Amino acid sequence: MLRQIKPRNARSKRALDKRAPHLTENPKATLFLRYTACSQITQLALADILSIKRPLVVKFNKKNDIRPFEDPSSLEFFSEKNDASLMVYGSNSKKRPHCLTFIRCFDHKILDMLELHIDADTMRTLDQFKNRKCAVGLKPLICFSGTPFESPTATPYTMAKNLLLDLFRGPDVQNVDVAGLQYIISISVGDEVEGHPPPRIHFRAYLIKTRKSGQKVPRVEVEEMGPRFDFRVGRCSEADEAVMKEALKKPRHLEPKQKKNIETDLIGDKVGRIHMGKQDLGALQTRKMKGLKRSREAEEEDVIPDAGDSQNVIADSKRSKL
Amino acid sequence: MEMFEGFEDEDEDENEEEEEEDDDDDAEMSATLEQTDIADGSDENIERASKALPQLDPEAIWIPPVNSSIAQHELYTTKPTPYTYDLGNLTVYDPNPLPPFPTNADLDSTARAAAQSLIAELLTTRPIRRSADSVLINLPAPTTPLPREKSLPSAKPKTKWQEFAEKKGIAPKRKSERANLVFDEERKEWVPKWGYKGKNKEAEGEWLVEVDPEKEERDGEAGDKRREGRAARKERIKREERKRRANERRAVQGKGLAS
Repeated sequence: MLRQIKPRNARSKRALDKRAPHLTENPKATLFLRYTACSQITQLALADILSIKRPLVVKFNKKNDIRPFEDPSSLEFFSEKNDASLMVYGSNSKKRPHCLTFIRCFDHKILDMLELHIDADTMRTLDQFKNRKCAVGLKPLICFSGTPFESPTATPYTMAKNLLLDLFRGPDVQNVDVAGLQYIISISVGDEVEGHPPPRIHFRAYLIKTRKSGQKVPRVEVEEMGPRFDFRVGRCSEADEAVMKEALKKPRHLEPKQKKNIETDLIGDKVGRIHMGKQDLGALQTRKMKGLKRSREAEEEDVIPDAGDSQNVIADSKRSKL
Repeated sequence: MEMFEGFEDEDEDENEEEEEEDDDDDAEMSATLEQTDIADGSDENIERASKALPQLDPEAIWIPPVNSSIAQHELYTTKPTPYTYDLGNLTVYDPNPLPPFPTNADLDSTARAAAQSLIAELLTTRPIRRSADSVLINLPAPTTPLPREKSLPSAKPKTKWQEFAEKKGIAPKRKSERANLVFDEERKEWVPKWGYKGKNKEAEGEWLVEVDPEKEERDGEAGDKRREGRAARKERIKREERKRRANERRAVQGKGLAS
């Protein structure tokens, strides 16, 4: 726990306000760090994930003697100090070879953790694929395939799905440029088979190429960009239910109020529905006919309705007309 | 298909560079790993991104004939269970089972089908805004529940005045009332209520002040209205400052009690 700092000037106050909780949050930063023992495979994997995640990253270069599943207090401290709520922790041991621990924090406290062990034989780095790479800081397309991800109960696979989506999804945006849809991260799991170890999580990243298809939607081709990991699921510590509920709370008045009678149709045009007031149909001009015309006398009576001696007045008016 | 000009890669001409590495060259793999430095270099990555040399293998260049039945047929891969989308996160969930030990070809085709359907979904269901150099797709809010980074901000504690006003039903001042401007009837112009040349300092700068005979009789001296006005104003400022500090103290205590 960091000590409570009282801002002494406007600059430090702004900096503290930026870290304070907000209704709409800034995108989560990811901290990359390693255990004292960390194989080259793990280090390369860390570097590759970091380069996909750039620029929302903080990287530690020194070795850390932390065992996340035994005492995560140092990690919580790092999370608070660096304002980072996602962490990827690389380690290697005889029992848990080439291990990446994905850690998520809420309020600078550990929320959930998941260990994924890299298969060293099938791992490929970003650089081993000799092709173009996507630009830095783009929002990726993400695909989760396989039945284990769809399990209705909480399993390490559903947790991996949620954690990896949180890790790779990038900032929330309102609009995305078509030119920015450059790569897809595909995370898939094969079916479970009785008598075999639990299926591996396959992490692949592909560049997207579009071709004309003769239809409205282009034909999409993919080309592997790297990195490529096959993960074996290790230990996992699930989030406390009450804390998770707190973390999933949505601010009530953040959703925009639905405007009545205004809709957007499929093409994207704004359509409004207007309610007219009741029309006075009595004053409507209909077809003119001789029979419906008012007589001359009636007309004149209308002109001076409240004259005292109507006869005289009529006579007068007639005279004046003559 | 003008709208995909920005989207489409301009790379159908060059491809004779090194081919992508084969999948089962494990010996070469270990060799490469030894050569590669432990990646730390940010320069290296920036260089990688800026290099951006488009290369293709010949298969990817295959362009289906326009309007042919092949193109129509190959566009979408039919799956027994439909995909679900979270377009706000540009995410697609494919609930269809994969083989128990999927090969790289399996994974590639799954990814292609998912990318195809996700892009189709984006282009057909979302409003699109075109400008000279970009095609922007509007995204909905993300639907997958993901935890927040920090808890929701707590409501700011009320000041003593706010509590009182709420109890008495006094509405907060409107923006025009709060503004630091008031109309001066004598000068026929808008002047600031406080601050530089403020209306509240008007009496302090008078060059001639009327003597209050009653006061003179009562106190024995006329006093200086200018000095008194200034002292009263300074006292008001100090009083407000005291009240502000008291409110802050109450807020801290309230928080301490709550936790």
